Formats: sequence, C-alpha cells, structure tokens
Amino acid sequence: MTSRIAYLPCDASTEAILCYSLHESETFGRYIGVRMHELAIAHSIVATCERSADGRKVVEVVLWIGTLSGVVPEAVEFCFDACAKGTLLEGTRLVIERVEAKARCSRCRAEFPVQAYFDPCPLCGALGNEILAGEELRVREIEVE
Amino acid sequence: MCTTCGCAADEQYHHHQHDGHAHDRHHTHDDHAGDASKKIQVEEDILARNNRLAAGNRQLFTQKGVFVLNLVSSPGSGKTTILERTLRDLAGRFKFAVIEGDQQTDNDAQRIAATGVPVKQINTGAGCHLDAHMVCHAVEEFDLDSLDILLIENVGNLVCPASFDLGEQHKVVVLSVTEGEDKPLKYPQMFRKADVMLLNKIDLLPYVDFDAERCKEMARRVNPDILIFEVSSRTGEGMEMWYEWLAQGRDRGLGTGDW
Repeated sequence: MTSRIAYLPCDASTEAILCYSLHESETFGRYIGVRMHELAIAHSIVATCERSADGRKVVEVVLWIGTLSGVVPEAVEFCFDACAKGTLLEGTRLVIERVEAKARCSRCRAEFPVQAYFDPCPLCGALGNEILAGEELRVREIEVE
Repeated sequence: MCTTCGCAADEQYHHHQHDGHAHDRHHTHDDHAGDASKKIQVEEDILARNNRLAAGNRQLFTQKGVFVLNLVSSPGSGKTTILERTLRDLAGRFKFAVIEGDQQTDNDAQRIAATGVPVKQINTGAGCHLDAHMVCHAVEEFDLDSLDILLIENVGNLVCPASFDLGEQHKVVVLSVTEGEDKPLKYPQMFRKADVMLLNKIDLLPYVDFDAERCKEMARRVNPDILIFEVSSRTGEGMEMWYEWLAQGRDRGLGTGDW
C-alpha cells in the first residue's frame, strides 16, 4: 500500500468530503495529515480521547490551544468532525479554550502579554523573552456518557 | 500536575508504559471521584504520540552517534541544492544519509542518489509535513552504526513542519534572497524553533531587492540565538562556515550526547 494520494485543488467543502470518504476506507490511517497539519492534529485528538474514554461515548472535549501554537482553532474544528466520524467522538461537542500568550522579559523580568514571538518587553524594550504561556496544544478533559 | 492523584500529567511515558498496572488507569480519573462524575481529566499534549516517537528517535540517534538535522524552508529555497553540494564537498570526511520528504515524486531522492549517498524518499501524499513516525520507519533502511550525519529534508513549507519534532538535534531553516526578507516575522514559529538559518542564493543579491542585514535583524528579533550563515549553494560561497559548524556539531555530540 502506498501512502500517495492525488493532490486535489479543492475548496473547504470538498476537503471535508475527501476527508469523510477517506475515513470510510480501511486505509484512512495512511492518509492522516491531508493538506493541513490541523488534520493530523484532529486525528491525534480523537485517538487521545478514545484511549481515555475506555469504550464510552464522548459528549464533550475540552482543548487548550495557545495563540502561539501555530494551530488554527477553526481548522481544527473543521477537521475534527471528519476525524470523529465512526468513533466514540462522533457528534461530540468541541470546546476550544484559547490560551493567551505571556512572556517574561529576559532583562527586567517583567511579565507581559504577547501577540507574537518577537514582541519586545513593553517596559524596557528587550527582545528574546521567555515564553511562559501560549504554546499549549492539549486535551484538558472529556465528558463521557 | 494532575490534581486528583498527584501524578505528573506531562509524563506520558508514565501513563502509557505501565500496561496492566493499576496506574495505567490514568485516563479514568473519575474513579477517584466516584461514578457520578462523567468528566475525565486527560491533560495530554495533543502531539504527545509524535513527541514520544521523536524522543525515541533522538535516543536511537544519540546511541548510534549520528548527528541529525531537519532542514525546513519554503518550496524553492534551495534545500536540495544545499544538500547536493554539502554531500559532494564533504564526501571524504563524513558518512551521510538523507531522508527526502515531498508530497509527490522521487525527483529529489534521485538527485541525492546521484551523489552516491544512501537516500530514502518519503512521499507524504497531500500531507504537509514529515512526522516522527515516518522518520522512525525511514531510518530502518540505513545502517546507523556506520553513519556520521543524517540530513532530513522536510516538505517545503514554513508552517506545519514547525509543530512536528522528528527527533533531530537541530532544525536548520533555509531562506533564499529571492523571497521576502520579512519571512522570519511572517513565520515566527519556524524561525523560533530553528537553531541555524542558511541565507541562500547570496550570489543573486546584486539582482534582487533584498536587504540581507534587515532580514538577519528580523530573524534575530524572533530568535536572538539563531546562527546565520550566508551561502550560495550554486557558487559555493560561504559554504565553508556551514561545513565547519556541521563538523563541530557532529564531533561535539559524539560520546556526550550533547549535540
């Protein structure tokens, strides 16, 4: 079995159909990571939750996605439904909690919110600050039936 | 830390390697609270599986004394040409192997194979990045005991490969002067995670509006510790510094595991 698949120049809805149809085939596992890394991440979320659910149906999943994680919540939501189909997570409510990024200044030790890695310290202007929060990519909890 | 039983939630090994032990019931922490609760605290990194596999790869590479680099960039920055030149110029000094990641074709693998270096092509299909699992299987085909340096050329993409640790010792990001000089600010996660930046195609600087100093300043704004080498893989200019870093890095890690 090859891991190749034809590249389809498609819009979002086509991607969902592609995703569903792949899921229904036995070879889905070979196709994870289709087009965007959020699909691989959604697949990973489903696998993690299924292990935790121990055979019970999952009604809610709570995620932490940091603003510096490089992952787009909307894209995860989009891929999640497709990845969850036919699993204990089919129809599950997905709750994404955004974790705002925070850094500590390398010079004056002040803590401050950041939008990006390269934001300087607002007090002293130093660069290269230590990121304290915002890189999270975590399944926090699930609720089962 | 898990507040229910005090176990370290970050220690995925702990939770997943004790099959059959009582502690393997990490995922049913509602046991502690009684049957009424249907909430289960999971507290697991979504990329935990990839990170576990990457840690395994890294341990294997350290044991075998192989220096491993993950080359990342946009498509067309010259990763493969840098590899070709590096492999030819250092053929007598080190034993190399290469993993090539592309969505389709084995064109790059053929170019590498022409240098005489063992190469394994991974086609990700429509996938946008390599992951630790792919690399774990790709290296099965190499005789790691005889290798000095393994170079992994990731899929050309400055976004997704940043999230997936492969078990490499360093990420090396390639940026060419035919691209926008502000790419470090546009794709900060990748430049933040890289230890080395190769600013490639500097032979073309006279012909393009690319401010190399400004680009380097932006890269350092995102990552003050990033090492920058200005190179031309076509003319060979600046490549000696990169080779020196490669040689020193490889020697430093031998025996110590501190690459």
